[in-house]
Amino acid sequence: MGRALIPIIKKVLGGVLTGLTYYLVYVVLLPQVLSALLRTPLEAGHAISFIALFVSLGTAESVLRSHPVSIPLRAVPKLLGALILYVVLNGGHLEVPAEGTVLRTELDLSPLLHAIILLSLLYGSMDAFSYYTARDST
Amino acid sequence: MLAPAKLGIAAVSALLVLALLSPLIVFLMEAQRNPEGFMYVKATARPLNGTHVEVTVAVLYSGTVPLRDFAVTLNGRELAVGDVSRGNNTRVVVLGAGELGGGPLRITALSYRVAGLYYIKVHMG
Repeated sequence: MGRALIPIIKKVLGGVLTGLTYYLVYVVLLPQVLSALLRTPLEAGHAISFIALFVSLGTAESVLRSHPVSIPLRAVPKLLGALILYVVLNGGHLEVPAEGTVLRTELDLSPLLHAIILLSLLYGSMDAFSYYTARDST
Repeated sequence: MLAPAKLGIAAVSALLVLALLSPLIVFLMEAQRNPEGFMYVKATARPLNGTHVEVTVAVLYSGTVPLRDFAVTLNGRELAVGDVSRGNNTRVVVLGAGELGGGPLRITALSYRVAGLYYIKVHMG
């Protein structure tokens, strides 16, 4: 019984790590880099909820890898990450106050955001498609 | 079979995002390094005749990233300067005498696209 649990624990741990990776990339790393660059606070907030969401999706995808339900589960975290980033960046339209001056700056980051969404879609689709190749190879 | 392709796409995605961000990073770093002399915009007007004035907008820019669609809002009216590159960029526009209103010339906003990608509008006052 103990041995039978090992692959399940491995799958769950793999899913937790995958979920945390998506959380770190989309909700922490990208907004933090842009925040430091623009010197304006950009935070997603609700950290625990987002971690729970990404970890549950990652775990579900990992455990159900051989089931067809894993097809959308593989794509959803990437799209969800891109959506959270879209909301955090206010659709790419930011207003940056210049400290100590009366200047007010509007900035449109939508080309970057569109590229991130497009690449997430591409990577998510490819990951979803990999279900068929994994099934064919078994 | 798809694992190398997925890894390749992830690596290319990261590089592409970095490449897309690089003009903005360079522009902001140059602006922060030299805030006083990074960009200087001056507008002057002289009457041509009783009905028209000649407005000269000079943009002295010391950055290395080209700025596209540069425009100056002068007394509430937006004047297109065009593309701006390192050095002195001047644009002369002839306007009707009443188009800039009365009083001294006042620049209220500047707008441009950093490397043709990122639209920035700076409101003054």
